[in-house]
Amino acid sequence: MQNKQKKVQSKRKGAFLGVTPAIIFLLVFFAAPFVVLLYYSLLTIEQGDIVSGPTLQRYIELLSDPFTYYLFGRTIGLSFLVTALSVLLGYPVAYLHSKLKNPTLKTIILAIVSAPLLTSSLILTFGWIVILGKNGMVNNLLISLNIIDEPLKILFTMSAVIIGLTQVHLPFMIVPLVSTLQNLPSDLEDAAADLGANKWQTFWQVTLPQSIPSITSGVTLVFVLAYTAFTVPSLMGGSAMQLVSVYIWNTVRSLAWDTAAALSSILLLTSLIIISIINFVSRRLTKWQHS
Amino acid sequence: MAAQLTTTPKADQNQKRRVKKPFMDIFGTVLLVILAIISLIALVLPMLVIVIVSFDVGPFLRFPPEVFSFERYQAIFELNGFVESLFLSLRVAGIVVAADLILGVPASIALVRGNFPAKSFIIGFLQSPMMIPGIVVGISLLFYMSFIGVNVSVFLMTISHIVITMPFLTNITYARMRSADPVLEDAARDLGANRWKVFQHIVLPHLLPGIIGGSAFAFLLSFTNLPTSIFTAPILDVPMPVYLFRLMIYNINPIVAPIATLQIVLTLIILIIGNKTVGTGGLMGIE
Amino acid sequence: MKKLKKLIFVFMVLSLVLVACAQTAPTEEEAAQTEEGAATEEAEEITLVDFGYTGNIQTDLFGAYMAEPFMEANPNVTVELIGGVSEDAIAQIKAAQGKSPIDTMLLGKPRYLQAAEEGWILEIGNEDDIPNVVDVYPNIQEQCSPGAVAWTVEIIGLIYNPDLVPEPQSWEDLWNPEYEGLVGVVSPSSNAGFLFYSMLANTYGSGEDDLDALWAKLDELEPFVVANNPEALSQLLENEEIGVAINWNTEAAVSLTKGYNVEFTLPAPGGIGQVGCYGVLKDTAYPEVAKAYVNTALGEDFQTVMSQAPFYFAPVNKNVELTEDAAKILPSADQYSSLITIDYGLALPIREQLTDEFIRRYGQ
Repeated sequence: MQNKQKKVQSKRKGAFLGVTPAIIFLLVFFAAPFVVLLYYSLLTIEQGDIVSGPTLQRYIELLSDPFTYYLFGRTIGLSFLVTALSVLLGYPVAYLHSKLKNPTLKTIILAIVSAPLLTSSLILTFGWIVILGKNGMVNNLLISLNIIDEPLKILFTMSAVIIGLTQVHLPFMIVPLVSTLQNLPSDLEDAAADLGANKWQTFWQVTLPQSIPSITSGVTLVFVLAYTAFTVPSLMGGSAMQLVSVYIWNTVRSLAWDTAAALSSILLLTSLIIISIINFVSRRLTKWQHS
Repeated sequence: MAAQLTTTPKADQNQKRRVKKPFMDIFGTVLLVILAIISLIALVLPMLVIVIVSFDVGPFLRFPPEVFSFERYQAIFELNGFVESLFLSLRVAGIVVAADLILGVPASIALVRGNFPAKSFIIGFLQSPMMIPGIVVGISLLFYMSFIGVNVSVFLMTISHIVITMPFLTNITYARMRSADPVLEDAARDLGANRWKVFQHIVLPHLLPGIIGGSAFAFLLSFTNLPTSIFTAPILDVPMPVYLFRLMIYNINPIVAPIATLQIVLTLIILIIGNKTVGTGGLMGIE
Repeated sequence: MKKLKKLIFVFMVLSLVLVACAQTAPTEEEAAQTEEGAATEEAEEITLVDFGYTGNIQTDLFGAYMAEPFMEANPNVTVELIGGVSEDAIAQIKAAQGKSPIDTMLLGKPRYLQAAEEGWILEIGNEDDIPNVVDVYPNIQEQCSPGAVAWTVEIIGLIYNPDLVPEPQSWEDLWNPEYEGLVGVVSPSSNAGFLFYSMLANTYGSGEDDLDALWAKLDELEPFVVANNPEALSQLLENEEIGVAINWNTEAAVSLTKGYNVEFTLPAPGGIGQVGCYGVLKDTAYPEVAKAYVNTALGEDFQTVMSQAPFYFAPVNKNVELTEDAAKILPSADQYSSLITIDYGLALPIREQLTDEFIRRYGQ
């Protein structure tokens, strides 16, 4: 097979032409704009007009400002919380799906998981506004049960953003897990059971370790999406929400483009760093499991 | 996170292992089912609630609604600019899919069958827009246009959508292409088929599910994109997501409920068609 | 390596071509348009884009009483009304370095000053361009000269729900315990917020740029509710989430028209006034049509309609008399001078800093 592949490939030297349009397109409309973004972050821009530059002034200002650390720290903390919640809520769904024998129930679970993926987060957010609002479902339910007298303020708080982000990104955690757990060979679990392990032991020592790679890909995806999410924080937290993406949106609107460009670069850099950390930890974890 | 999950309950369980084996099994199963049910409810709840309130009346959102009426549906037609936004979004998504296919399909075939240097680097480059947050793509294109001195336009918005959706389509077709057997193509060529014939009769049929799935996904991504469009959409031609965003951020306009309901119905139709053709799992790429 | 070099070369050539195309294409178009514009502005099909309010009531006002009569009088012209936050429009105008599809635009005083300074509006504030300007109170028109024309005076006062709070007599009353937690404000990115905070800084500090005094005073007011924009603030009041809102008189008119139990008051020592200007963008292809359109906004007909229910925009045309119910919400001409005015020279340079720090302090 290997040999044949080589033989086939050797015939296609001109195949580079196939990739060229895509590469050129991305160079012109993705890489070049990105260079401009980096360039703008080095300039001084007032009300959208370039005043002077290039200097590192913007970065020095941002990195010596405690608010920057607060802003990024808060967003990272929020994203980790959302990621943790989606593992906690997502894994059971995928596990249940893999254990169920009834095909109709399986299809229903898959449909419930994929429906939010196919709907826009804007619409899901609107649903949460109805649920969490002043005259919303949660408040009216709690009032009718006499648990509270006055409606709670949930919408436009951090809690609302956490709830919204978790739900919107939950499917990204469940989908990779479903396909792994589904295809997990049952012999291993059977063998563990034969050796006298109970369900818990089998789960912790056989099933869970096997699913670490897909948990990792789910965690990476959910973390990055939550970290850079815009729709949910801006609508459920309000436009003064102190989260990176909403803050950047405000700086673009107030024409402080130098700051917007610098913050965007920091956002991108930090998200790449965190992705590598997650992957590094996961590799360590897998190695440790194997030894 | 995974580490936390493994340590705490494990220690717990080791202590009780000898005495309460069955209890832990039952407890674990109950906990698992409860968590799964909570998350399944949370996943459908927003959509369910939207459909219900879309039949309410009045200037505010409330739950439960007190009346049943089609008032909010009738009001959609009086909305200024709604139809234009809808058609703009559909048009842009269509162009985006076409461009993705023209750029992405040859690229994925060439990447699998071709032989040229720096292949893994090129694959990485073609996938890189997926790693960049949508708002950063939008802002950098906005600044790029300002740098060159061109007006923000529908063209720019379309370009920004192609940038963010192309990697997804390329990924799907690339994976599909890798699973194709090159021997078949060789055999066809040995039998005298030219390049186009080989593509038409062997490569294309094999790629087709990937192309359909990838196109549908790219269409949806473009049709629902807000973080990029909010920076690249012109003020005059507002796409659907930005239009809805404005209805929601200036003040929460209940008219969004019927519009959202219509989109949810569309989602359900896609789900049902998907289930009948490739299976719900297949739709999500689950084997 | 050779291939890489080739690739880089191709890329550079392509970006150069793109830059070149981008820079030449609009100018060609522009040239064509101005040529065409001069010769055929009266005969050809023209679309005029007017940027203004988002609210349904205000859109109705401009649509039914300004755009439609204008289109009837000029059958070859189609007026397209675009609503939105001026911030978003200006961000795009700036992004395009002054080029914009917008022809005419409503500009609050601060936005007018910015536009005039940056030079993206035509100078139209004279009789030759806008004949109706002779009927405008000179002291008000002065505020928008020479770049634009004044079409209204917008007033910030207090809209309150009499069931929830007593009528506030002065701005200072908001700090009284009976209003605690019930006060709603807008963010300074919106003019209603910006002017209110500038007024506070001036009243309790050394001037509009005394932010320390402002923060001290606002800290005392906490907890208060921050809305993104005036419309959202009104909704909070209608929904009884707040008892009193610092907001435009026109927003009060909207809530009253919808039948909500709210009242509008100008607390002592006075409401905060801001002249509303109407500008024509420099980049417009049809300057004469745009000016004629703006001219109708100052005419007696439109000014009379806009001063009445349900719109209640303060008229600036000398010949317009206020109706009885309008007089309850709007100040009369001689009262204009008692409105608090903001020293934009002090306030505008620090607006960005004010907005940014406000979000940092009172954002969620």
